[in-house]
Amino acid sequence: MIRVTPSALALTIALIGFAPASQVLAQPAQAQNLRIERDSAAEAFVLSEANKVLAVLGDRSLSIEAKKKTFRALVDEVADVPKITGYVLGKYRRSISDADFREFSVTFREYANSVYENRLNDYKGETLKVTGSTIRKPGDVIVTTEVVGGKTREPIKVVWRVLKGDDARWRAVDVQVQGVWLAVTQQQDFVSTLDNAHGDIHVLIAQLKGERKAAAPSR
Amino acid sequence: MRLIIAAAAILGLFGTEQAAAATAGASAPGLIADPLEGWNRGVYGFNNGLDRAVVRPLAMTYRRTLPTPARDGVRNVLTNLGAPVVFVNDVLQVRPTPAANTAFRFAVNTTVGVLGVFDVASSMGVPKHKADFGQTLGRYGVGPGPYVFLPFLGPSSVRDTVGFVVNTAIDPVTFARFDGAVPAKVTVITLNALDVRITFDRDIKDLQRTATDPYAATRSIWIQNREAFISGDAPPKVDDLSDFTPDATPKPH
Repeated sequence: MIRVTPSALALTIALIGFAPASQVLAQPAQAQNLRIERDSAAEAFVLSEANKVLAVLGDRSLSIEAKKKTFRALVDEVADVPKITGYVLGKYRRSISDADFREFSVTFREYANSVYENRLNDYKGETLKVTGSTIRKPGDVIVTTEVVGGKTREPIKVVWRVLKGDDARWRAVDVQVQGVWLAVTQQQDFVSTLDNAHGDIHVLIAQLKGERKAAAPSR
Repeated sequence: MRLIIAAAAILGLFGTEQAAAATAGASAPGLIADPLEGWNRGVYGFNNGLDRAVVRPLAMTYRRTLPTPARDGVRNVLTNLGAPVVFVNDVLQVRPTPAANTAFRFAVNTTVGVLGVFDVASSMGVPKHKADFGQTLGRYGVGPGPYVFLPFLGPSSVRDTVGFVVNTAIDPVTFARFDGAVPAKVTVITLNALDVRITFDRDIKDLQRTATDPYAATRSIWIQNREAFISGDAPPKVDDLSDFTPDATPKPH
């Protein structure tokens, strides 16, 4: 049972720190980030590509092997895999050699495949609709969507971060579901592992290989 | 997709309800300070061991013993019992429509729904929602403070720990006095914990299997998910996002 004493309360308030009064008065605080610009090209990309992926995942006529094959091809089309691979290493990206990065890239790709392929049969006809977008800066857009239908009882809010590459093509680099950005989370997971391994990328690679094997049998 | 909120609930036996309450919404990705990381990791390990040895086996027995409709009924009763706390926080957040919905749900489900066993209000188009005092503090601009991993309760922040204490203090279940009150309260708390544990079983297994540092992954997911819950349906906070480069690790709040 947690007991609250005056000193504990004072400490709590000191630790939390109250926001400036102006911020409180500006409630809802979230409105301060409201932007009105939308990017129709980024929205069209997400609408088209995400529904393509959902159609494959929800296709009951496809075998699991066929789904895997199609899904892997689609990932390269939809996501900027090289950029994500560098991002998840965080501050350690610049300190590892090119050879180690190449090895990590292969392992990370296989790891990601095995993680996501465990869920390939979880979809049954869901579709996605775009509800808006916000331009963070040119070529860096946040697209908000809702997934409806299939097994979902209520619309699920999914937010996409898409970047326009040098080839002028849009690609997704992060996805947020229920408030959680996947690539950001992956980065914080990997960086913590590397911190605890004194930055040794081979520890992370070995762990990813081990987890890939563990993930393979699924449930 | 349920994996995302699983870690928010992971190994928090009683705090899971709060974590699971987090609903969809955009928020800034983030870290909060974790000055007690060594201690927190110890508690995380303790909760993990307790989960493996006691909580999960109990939860699985509960699942096998009670058919789904009966468990749904129990969950409905527990949700209904929590309505007064939700109502108070709806009022404190000056959200009249959710407050009215909560009051309506409590009245209908307690009477027509036979003491909350049947969620009649949802079938009438008034779905449940969550609200707690940590969220109330957050909506008034109180920052999360350092991250803490609590014994039995799971992931939290200083703000949300204060919120948990206040929620408990204002919960009528806490100060109800009647013959057999203590066993009844223990039953409520236990059933709540088991129900949430069952709900997130697959997701917890997935997270523990796929994260390279489950403690860090849980922390990241819980913080982001919690902030999204507090932000509600706010638009994405794009200003809080860094450039998508490896060096752009988010700064702690």
